[in-house]
Amino acid sequence: MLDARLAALSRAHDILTREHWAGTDLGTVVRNAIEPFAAGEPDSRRFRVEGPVVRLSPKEALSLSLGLHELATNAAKYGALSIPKGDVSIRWSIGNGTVRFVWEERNGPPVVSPRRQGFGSRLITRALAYDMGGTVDLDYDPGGVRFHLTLHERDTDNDTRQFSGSPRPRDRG
Amino acid sequence: MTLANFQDRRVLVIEDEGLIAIHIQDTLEELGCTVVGPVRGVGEAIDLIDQNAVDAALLDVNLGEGRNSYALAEELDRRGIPLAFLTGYGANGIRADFRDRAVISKPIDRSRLERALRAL
Repeated sequence: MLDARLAALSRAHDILTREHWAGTDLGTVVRNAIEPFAAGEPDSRRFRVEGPVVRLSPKEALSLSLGLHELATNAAKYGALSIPKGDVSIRWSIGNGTVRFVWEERNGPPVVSPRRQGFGSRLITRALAYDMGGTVDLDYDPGGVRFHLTLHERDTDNDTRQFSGSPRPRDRG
Repeated sequence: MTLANFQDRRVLVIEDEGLIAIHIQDTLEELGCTVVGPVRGVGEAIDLIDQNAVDAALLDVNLGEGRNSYALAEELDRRGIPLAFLTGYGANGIRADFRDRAVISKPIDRSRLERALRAL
């Protein structure tokens, strides 16, 4: 479990190195984090990924990578990714400087109240909220796990372009 | 001393790493403390001490992106609030004028926090 978390961090480091640690964008982090769970096909039917460009600092990118890895691991073990017909919708939007990010598992087995695995996930999602200066809500809804991340008062002036799947030119700084 | 000694101790925490901040928060709460924060930045921390009574403060030395917590340490000194530094680099990693202060070495665990709180 720890090895897998380290591998997830290492993959996030790879993107940041590619972008010379200038930070990266939310879509790139998401696609990178889910790739191991999508059988190497980032756009497989297992995942719907949709949202505009949102710049993340290196630290935010690492924290989000770890959080998404945790969610995906749990989905693969117990949630929507544990059965063939399940899928995950990952989408985010920007309005009035607030970014709203949602991870929503669908068509999976009924969600049972978590015990030990829930503790690790709550810890990691709290840490994620802290590192990103946002709020999180991890909801073990019987119909599918839902995770909401809300980032307040973000400077989103330059974040209006739709995510295209290719990295933006890196910022200097 | 017993656990009860920490009841209602109001402890400010400044730490930039989420997982560590939450670990410290949970551990302090297990010890019976009331945690003020945790916060990631000096400005937020000063707002908190303006608005809350604080009995002690735990300060991560390096706050990331080249920032540190010494400005907060100076402000806590002015207000007479005892503090301890959190660092992975030992006392030698602390600025010379603060090297006489309590240091809690990372990785932080319950017994290290408990010992430091007793001494503050």
